[in-house]
Amino acid sequence: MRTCKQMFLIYLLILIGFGVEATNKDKIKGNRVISDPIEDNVYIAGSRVTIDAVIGGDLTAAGWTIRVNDSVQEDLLLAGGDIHINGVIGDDAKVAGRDIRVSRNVHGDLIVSGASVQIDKDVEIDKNLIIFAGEVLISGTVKGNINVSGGIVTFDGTALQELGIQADELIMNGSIHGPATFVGSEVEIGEDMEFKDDVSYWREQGELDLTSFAKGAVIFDEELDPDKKDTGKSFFGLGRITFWLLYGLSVALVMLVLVTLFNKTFQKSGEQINHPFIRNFGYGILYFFGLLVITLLSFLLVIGIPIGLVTLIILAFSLLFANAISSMVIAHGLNIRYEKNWGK
Amino acid sequence: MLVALLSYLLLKLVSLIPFVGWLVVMIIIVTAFGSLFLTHAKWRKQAVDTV
Repeated sequence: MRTCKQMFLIYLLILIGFGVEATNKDKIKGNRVISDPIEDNVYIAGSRVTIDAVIGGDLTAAGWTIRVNDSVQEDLLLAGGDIHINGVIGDDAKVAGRDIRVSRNVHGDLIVSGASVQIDKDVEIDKNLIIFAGEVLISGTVKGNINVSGGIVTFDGTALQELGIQADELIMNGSIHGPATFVGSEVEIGEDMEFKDDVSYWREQGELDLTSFAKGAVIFDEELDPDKKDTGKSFFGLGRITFWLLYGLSVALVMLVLVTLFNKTFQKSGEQINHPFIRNFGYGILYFFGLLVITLLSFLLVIGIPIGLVTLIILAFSLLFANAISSMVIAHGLNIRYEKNWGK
Repeated sequence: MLVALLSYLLLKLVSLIPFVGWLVVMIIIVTAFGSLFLTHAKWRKQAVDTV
């Protein structure tokens, strides 16, 4: 079920990423409305998705406009353009979209990515809040940690644990009970701001006078300067090394899974890649364009949407793992061409 | 596995070169998928012929 969800999310993200929903706005037919309670998990897609009844399991939805007007008792996974969550979410919520507004409590983590994100005043997030967005307004209460990365960020809510914000323009006018770290080119502190623990910060214009707002220690930390973090000096730093190590391991893992599942196919294709280049290249073009054309045609004909979904998932998988798959074929090809025995 | 990993790193490095690198990597990827597609097509043909 988890894999199914992840594949569906990949599909949703690609749907947005390729702008299919924009071009086919009027072609993805149907306003999908759920008006009767459903005890099970729900997977739904349409130009406009409206949830007007309780969902007993997870809700996974994609659409141009999404309105969740009633509670979802487990996880929420949404991707779309204009998204409004107006029902209580029983567990984690993961949302990607253009304009996102959260108006009701979330009892788990809330992870949001979008152009504009708004968390309303009376909203309570029981666990962590993670946001990547252009414009962010947080007015609610977060019981876990807050981690925000955005362009214009306004915080006038309450953070009960740690807070970390990185923004171009930052307006702070809320209450933070735990340690706070914030970085911004421009930082403005409102008169209602309260820092109840230590504060570390950096801003381009220099130091701020936070003594009247903070109860703990206040540190203007030059090391938080994002430009300093990205210098060549730290290129081989511990963070980067860890990142590349994890990246290498994840690639190796993907390859291990591929070779375990499809070793025979890779061996055969290793033989095949040593045949004339133009034939392989031609069929490769046919494969990618064929999948793309079938997918687009399937989405244009509403009845073909299930086929379109399958081909889109295959295309997404091919693109996501293109380098890893190609490397496996090349390695097998070299193995056969030079009659080596590199093993698995 | 090691050769595959090295090939992967090489592809990644080449893909960092603007335009020419992108083109080369694209051609390699398309060719690799073409060979996979042909392998699969051959197997299907063999299976159909056997039936």
